[in-house]
Amino acid sequence: MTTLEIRPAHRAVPSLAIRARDVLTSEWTKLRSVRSTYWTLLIATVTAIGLSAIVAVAFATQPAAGRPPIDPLMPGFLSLEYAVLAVGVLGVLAFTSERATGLIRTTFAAVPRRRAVLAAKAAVAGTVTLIVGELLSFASFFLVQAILSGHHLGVSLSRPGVPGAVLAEGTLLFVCATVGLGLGAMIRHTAGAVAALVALIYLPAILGLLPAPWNDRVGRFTLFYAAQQVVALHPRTDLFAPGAVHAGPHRLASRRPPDRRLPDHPPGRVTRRVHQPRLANPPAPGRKRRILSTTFSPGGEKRLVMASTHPCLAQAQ
Amino acid sequence: MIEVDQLSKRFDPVTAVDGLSFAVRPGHVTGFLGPNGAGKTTTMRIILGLVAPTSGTALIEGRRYQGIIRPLHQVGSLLDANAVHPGRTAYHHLLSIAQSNGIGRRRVTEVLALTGLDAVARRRTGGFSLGMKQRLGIATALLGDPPVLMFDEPVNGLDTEGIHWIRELFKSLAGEGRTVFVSSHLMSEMALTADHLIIIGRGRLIADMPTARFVESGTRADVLVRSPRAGDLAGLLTARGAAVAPEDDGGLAVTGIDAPAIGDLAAEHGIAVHELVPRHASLEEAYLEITRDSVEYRAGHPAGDGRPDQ
Repeated sequence: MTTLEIRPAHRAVPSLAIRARDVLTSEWTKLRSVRSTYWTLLIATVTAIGLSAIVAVAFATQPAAGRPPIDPLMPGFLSLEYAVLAVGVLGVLAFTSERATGLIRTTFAAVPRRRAVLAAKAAVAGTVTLIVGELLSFASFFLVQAILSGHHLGVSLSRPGVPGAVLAEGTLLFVCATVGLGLGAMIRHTAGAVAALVALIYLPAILGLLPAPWNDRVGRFTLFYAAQQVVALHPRTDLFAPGAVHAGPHRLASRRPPDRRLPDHPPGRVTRRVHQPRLANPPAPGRKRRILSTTFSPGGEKRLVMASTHPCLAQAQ
Repeated sequence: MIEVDQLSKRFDPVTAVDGLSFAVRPGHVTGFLGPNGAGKTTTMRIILGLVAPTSGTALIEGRRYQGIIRPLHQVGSLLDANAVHPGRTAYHHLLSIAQSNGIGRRRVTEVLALTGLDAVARRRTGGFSLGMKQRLGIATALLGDPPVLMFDEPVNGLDTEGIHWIRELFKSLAGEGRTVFVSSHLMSEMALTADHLIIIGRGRLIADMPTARFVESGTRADVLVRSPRAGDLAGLLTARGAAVAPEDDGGLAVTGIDAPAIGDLAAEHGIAVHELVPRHASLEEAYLEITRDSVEYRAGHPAGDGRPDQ
């Protein structure tokens, strides 16, 4: 039997950049060709926009007398904190849907460098959720301010620190999608990974209610606290030095006018109480602090959001 | 060319593949046979770099799979037809795999036409029958137009027409000088499709030979003779060099001499013959016998105990 030369003769070995582009293109095709991607992004959108509007209306319609101070960024942050679950599931599914069907073997046979596959998945899911996250963050910001400004409670995007905070909120979706992908790759089962994701996102909100100092001691390792640190106009310096956790907010922070600029911290160093802004609502001496976050009021004052004044938790007290 | 050398894979406490060595040559359809749990799938996964062997090597065109850049151009494989995302269309399934190896949309359309899936290309694979999924898996394997092709149980779920199509496809691929390696647990199917057989049982090599020779050596061909003077006839046949084994019901099972010669011999000596039946054991029986031997051999072996089906 005659043997034909089947092998493509002298096929040039493609460069690493071309091979990386190939894997990225492949993962992009996978992500855009399944309905779960559109469903999760739709759910994230409805949650972010809908919840923003509901919380903003609730803020705006509270009677002015005896009302706790209002953080005009809080509705957007709260709504995104629930929208992240949907994109986290998107991240989980990016791995577990392939694992469950066995498709992952076809993928790994086509691309034996498994880390390249995982990196491409993270890059593609990360880019999509970063773009969607920023769109949702700004959309809910403008929606919330439109509702609040009718009651003279809104804040302008031009106010120092606000663009940074809104940008940082948008990154929450990116973070949760990549964390979801990582959990999916580690746990390898959709249900298990989603359960872990829910625990990672929401359990810390409950840990935050532990008596001080245990709320911080446990909570500092959680996504919830990290998210608040990233988003808050004045991150709590006793938890993380922002530069040590995330390069983004640190850079955002340094765009603020000099009087609001945080001191520079060397990466990795956790500093304590280096910055003591003027507090509009200092905690009563001797009272147990249950600080959930710090906020920035329209008047330019820093406020502590405590469990007792948190708009979502106040009723539980 | 696929070369497997002293390959072993242990999933404690089970040895799935046990010192397996064979070569799959280009230009032939090579059947990879063995009962369920014999280690066929594990061997194929090791060849594709999906499972790390405990010891030994598996090389494709002289190279380890992991070292091949854009492997779909070298090796096409179908391991599990159900390994598709049910919500993705056939076209996008193929496209995503093609893109990972720098293969363009035109080739995707080509393989869809080649496997007869062009009409359902835009349908989600969740609604596909197993036969359609097998075709999709074969389309995936053909994407890179590779010189080496591996198919794990590709015939499962295909209808008669599909089986005929796949048989012709394998033959034409081998005719083009490609290495075609097809696993199956059905001897009858492989006898028609493969021109070389590699048979394993319990992870060990049982046979590695051309199909024709296996059919020859493996099939028991004898002649059943019944005669009122069976004893006399047996003596005559033995004198002619034939082997005679008495059957339980008084018949004689004669090997080493064909039916006309037996009839002539009986007539020569005036012996009445009541029945003269040439018998051929089926290939399936030969295969069962050869694999049963391996099972029996292994059953007396401590390492063979407690082995679950794969």
